[in-house]
Amino acid sequence: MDPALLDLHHVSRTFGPLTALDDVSLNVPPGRLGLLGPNGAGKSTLLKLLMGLLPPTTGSGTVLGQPLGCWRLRQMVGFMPEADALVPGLQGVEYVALAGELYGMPRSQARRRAHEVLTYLELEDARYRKLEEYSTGMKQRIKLAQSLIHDPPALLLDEPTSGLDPAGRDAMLRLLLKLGRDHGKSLILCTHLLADVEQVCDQVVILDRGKVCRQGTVAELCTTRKDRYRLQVQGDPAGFLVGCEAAGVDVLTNNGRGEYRLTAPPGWTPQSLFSLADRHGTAVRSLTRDDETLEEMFHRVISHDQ
Amino acid sequence: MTSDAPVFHPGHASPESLLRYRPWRGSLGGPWRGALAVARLSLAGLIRRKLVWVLLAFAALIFLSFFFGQYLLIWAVGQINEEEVRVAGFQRVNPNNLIRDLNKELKLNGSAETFRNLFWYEGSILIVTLAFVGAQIVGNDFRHRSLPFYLSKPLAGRHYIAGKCLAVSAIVLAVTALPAMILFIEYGLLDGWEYFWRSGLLFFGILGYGAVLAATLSLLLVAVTSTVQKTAPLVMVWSAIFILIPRVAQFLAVETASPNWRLIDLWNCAYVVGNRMLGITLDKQPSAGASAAILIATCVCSAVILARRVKAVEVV
Repeated sequence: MDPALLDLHHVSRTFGPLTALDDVSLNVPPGRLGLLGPNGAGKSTLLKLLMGLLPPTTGSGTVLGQPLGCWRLRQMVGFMPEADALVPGLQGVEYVALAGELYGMPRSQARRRAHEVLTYLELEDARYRKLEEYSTGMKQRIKLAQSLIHDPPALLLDEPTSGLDPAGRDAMLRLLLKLGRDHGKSLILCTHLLADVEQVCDQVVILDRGKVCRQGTVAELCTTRKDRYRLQVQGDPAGFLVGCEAAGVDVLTNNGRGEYRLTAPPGWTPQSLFSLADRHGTAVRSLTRDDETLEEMFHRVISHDQ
Repeated sequence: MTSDAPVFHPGHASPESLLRYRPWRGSLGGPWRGALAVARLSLAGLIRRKLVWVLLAFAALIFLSFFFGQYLLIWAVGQINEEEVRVAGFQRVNPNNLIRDLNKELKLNGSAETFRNLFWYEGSILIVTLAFVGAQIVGNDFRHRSLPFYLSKPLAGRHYIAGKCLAVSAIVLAVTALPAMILFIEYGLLDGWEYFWRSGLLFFGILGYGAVLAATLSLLLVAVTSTVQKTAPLVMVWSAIFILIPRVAQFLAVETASPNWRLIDLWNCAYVVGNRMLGITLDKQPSAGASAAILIATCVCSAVILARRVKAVEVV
């Protein structure tokens, strides 16, 4: 049986009087994990612990079976930093091969593997270019390449889509999903972009003020709302909106093009909405349930805990 | 390590298979393998600079003048019965005069003084070289924030520092101890095998002097460049350490008639310790023990500064 991705028992970390992590206990099986939290929640401290850069003040735990505080953690986990962290003057392939050697690979194998990884990440045409000449998207991909060079079982990704345009972001997320789903890599995704987590991760941990607020799958944590709908109507909506107000239906958003998000009163069914629209001479083109998004859930959890 | 993706067979690669992720199965070495990679990368970065080659060419000229000077001395000893000999095809000289000049004045006779002088001259070139390339070795990592890249790998700060010091030490030894060892072997081969037995301790003295210079200069340079990261300020700091302070030390030593003032001159401390290792006793100089203590203190302070600088780097 594979060891747990994270198995932490009452882990705390203090810096003088400041408690960055407070009695954190987690058991996360291998998979794709999103690590969320507002600024100052303790995410960076947790990442440092997971990489073996800091020992816990109290408590114990393992990452993929390796104890916390051990340098071998950094061989088990490929780290993709948020900052550029490039070595100027090096070509792409030299940079990735150097990362392999720093992870402990023999030089010849690191060089060969660097070519393979760069080809996989579609950077083969740029591999002999200096890193200074890389675009932001290429820099993100080469940072991913250097974290993959030694084929680690887990990747720790700090804001992997930072600075990318929508197309680049989408490509990066698809790549990460593919690595996790098709190639068995465990991912720990640390980002402020909740949509990224929603797209890639199957599990989420939310930290706030050093404590774990929530842990579970995205589906478990996001409330299934039976009273919220996304509605698209055709025809003049003015009468329909007046009718909604009169019936106690709360219009949350209106994009001005006939698309609405509504909260229906208790006891209402989709049929009630169809009837309301019909009474005001408006045709309903589509009606879907509007469950809570990860972003809404995150804000709800953080504001509730405060 | 993981994944059940198909294993790549280089001879049967198709374009489609090239785009597939392939696992790597191999064993990873410890962090010291990474330290060697850091050292190699630093050296590779240095030899790409033309300035380094110019300075190394000067160092090579000094070495060659010693090399052929020794050869000339042995050759002149063989011509001792002649009244006049032709040197370099045009200059006629008395071999006794030539021997006197090479032996007594220039000390190109395979003695401890020969190697002491070589270390001194080569050391001067070395100091200039390090002043101009130091920023390239370490300063760039701080300036361009490359350090998190290294420290997010299994390397700890000490491995990174060791790698950088190794690169500097390689330059120091290549410019000082290596030429001295070649001179030692050359003189032994020209003079006779008994030279090796007679002067065997000199070989260890050369190694010791080289080790003292390598340890002190590498730690000092890496520590200074971790703080002063650009070439121009580094040259100024380096000039202060190796030109200004020695002048002040010499002035104070003369004025107060106390050689202990020369302890503030690091280059002189290394010179005194190196001379002791070569078996030479110096007049009007501080004791070798005190000089060694200063060098050790410098190394310890440099290591502490470095450890703090590297520890302060935020990897995540």
